[in-house]
Amino acid sequence: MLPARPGCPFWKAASRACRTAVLALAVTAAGPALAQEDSRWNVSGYGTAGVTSQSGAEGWRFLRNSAQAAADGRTSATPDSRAGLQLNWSRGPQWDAALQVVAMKKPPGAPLSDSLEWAYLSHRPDASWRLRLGRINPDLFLYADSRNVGYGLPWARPPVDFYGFAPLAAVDGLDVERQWSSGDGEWRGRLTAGSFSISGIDTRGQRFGIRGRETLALGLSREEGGLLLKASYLRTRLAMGAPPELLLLRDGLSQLAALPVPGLAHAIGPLQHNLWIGGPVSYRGFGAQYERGPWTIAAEASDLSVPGSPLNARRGYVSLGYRHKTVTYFALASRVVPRKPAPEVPDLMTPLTPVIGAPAAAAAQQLAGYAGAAAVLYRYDQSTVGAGLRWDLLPNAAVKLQVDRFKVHANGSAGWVHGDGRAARGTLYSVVFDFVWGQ
Amino acid sequence: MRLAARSARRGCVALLLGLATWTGRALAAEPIYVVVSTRSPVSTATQKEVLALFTGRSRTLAGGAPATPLDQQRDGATRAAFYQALTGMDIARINSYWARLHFTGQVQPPQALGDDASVIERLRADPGAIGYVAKEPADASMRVVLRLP
Repeated sequence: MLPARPGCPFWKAASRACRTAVLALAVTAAGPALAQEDSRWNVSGYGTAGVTSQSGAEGWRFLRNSAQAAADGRTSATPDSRAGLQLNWSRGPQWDAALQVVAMKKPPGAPLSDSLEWAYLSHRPDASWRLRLGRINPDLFLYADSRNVGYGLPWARPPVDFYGFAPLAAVDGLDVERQWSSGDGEWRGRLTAGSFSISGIDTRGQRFGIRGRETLALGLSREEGGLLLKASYLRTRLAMGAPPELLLLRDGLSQLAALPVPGLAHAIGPLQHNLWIGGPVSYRGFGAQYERGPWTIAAEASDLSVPGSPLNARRGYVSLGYRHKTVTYFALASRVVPRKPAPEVPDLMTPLTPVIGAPAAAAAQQLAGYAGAAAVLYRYDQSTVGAGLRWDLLPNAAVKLQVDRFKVHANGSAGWVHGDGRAARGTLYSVVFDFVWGQ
Repeated sequence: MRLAARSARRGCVALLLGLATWTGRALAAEPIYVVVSTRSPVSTATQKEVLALFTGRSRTLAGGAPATPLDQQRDGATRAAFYQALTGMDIARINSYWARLHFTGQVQPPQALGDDASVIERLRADPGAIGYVAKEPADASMRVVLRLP
């Protein structure tokens, strides 16, 4: 069993060893390899030009994913437009490397390194095993690994209720993958270890840092005929870069909880937990996709466990598609349900007034009110039903139209910038043009 | 103004529904031959094995023999006919499938060669490769391991 204590010498040593191994492998393998005649280079790319128009949820801005900028108006090209460039190199069937950069509107102030999607060196000792080092993707989702590649998706975008808070797309570390056959099925298992550092966007539209340490992910999939099944697990230690106001609230609550008033710490405890800024996180996911003739059905379910935090939630979606000639018609429904009720603000006036006086007790009550309101902003509780079509007008380009009807429940607007905790309903209209080249 | 927007929206929907009935290029149901070098240990292959190999699900053929798949021109008729016969999917769906794999570092698509002659030439040089051609090869150094459809 791996030690889990933060800052543990094991992890530091492993991290150093990993970096040394990457460097050594890159130098020993890539150096002579570049001189080989059978080296193969390939440049390819993808892009999406899209416009989304929102009605309802006045004052809120649509957020496709918490790792990018939100819509800059009720009609905006920001959520879906992006471009990616990928460089691949291979030498025979054993060695290859890839680097991909993505241009899209990120949260303000996001570092350039956020645009580096993958950069890895891969070695296949035989047809069954593969080892990769560098910035790599853990095999967690049916579609989110390719969330930016619109052309690879049936919809205008991956279902937001499911993928909107799944900022993890890459880990700096290593993975080991094995492919094998059993009966009529083709299996693939991938174990990934490393760390990550990315930018997220808060409900005010401001950037905050997200760091994950001691990340361990396992993906297992089986394909047979048109059926793909996938199960995944991830655990990590997250540290969220909290805004100063949140830290002040946390400090204020800690000071209140320290007062020698019976039951006070117990009453304030849940509020303190809701202002979560880091700790162990685990993710479990299961996905299935079935293709038969013109029909495709896909579904995923996940459970994000963030002990004590309002981020704790279960997510799921189901999508049905039917292809006729060059057009695929689709419908989808998705839902994110928080695992905890919205935090309640305890009555502090009654126990505190005799101890610290009415004015100070009122100030403490106000502080608790702010803390409750802040905690609500991290809570996801919404559902969406949508329908649309994808028209493959060229073998490498598609146009998609999509209409989504969304319903945000009270105290569940974390998926929106400027979401204020009110319940809201509305509609999103989307038109996107996706393409790939050089693949 | 609202009426105009509604008309425009209706027009847009009608146009797209019209396009939906547009029939794609009919693919000729000519046979496609999956071939290897006679120096290859592979003497025959099932459609399921070839499908797994050309969709990146597997890297071996029967008996665990490693095989490197070779594609033809990305926008060529032979490639479209091959994948239609192999998977039942049109080329746009195949390209979309490969886009998901290629741009997420899962698997690289098979190397694309220009035509039948280029495939034959590569197979002669690489007994571990497997390709497909539109015309049954007369070359004695080639072995047909599967005929589609």
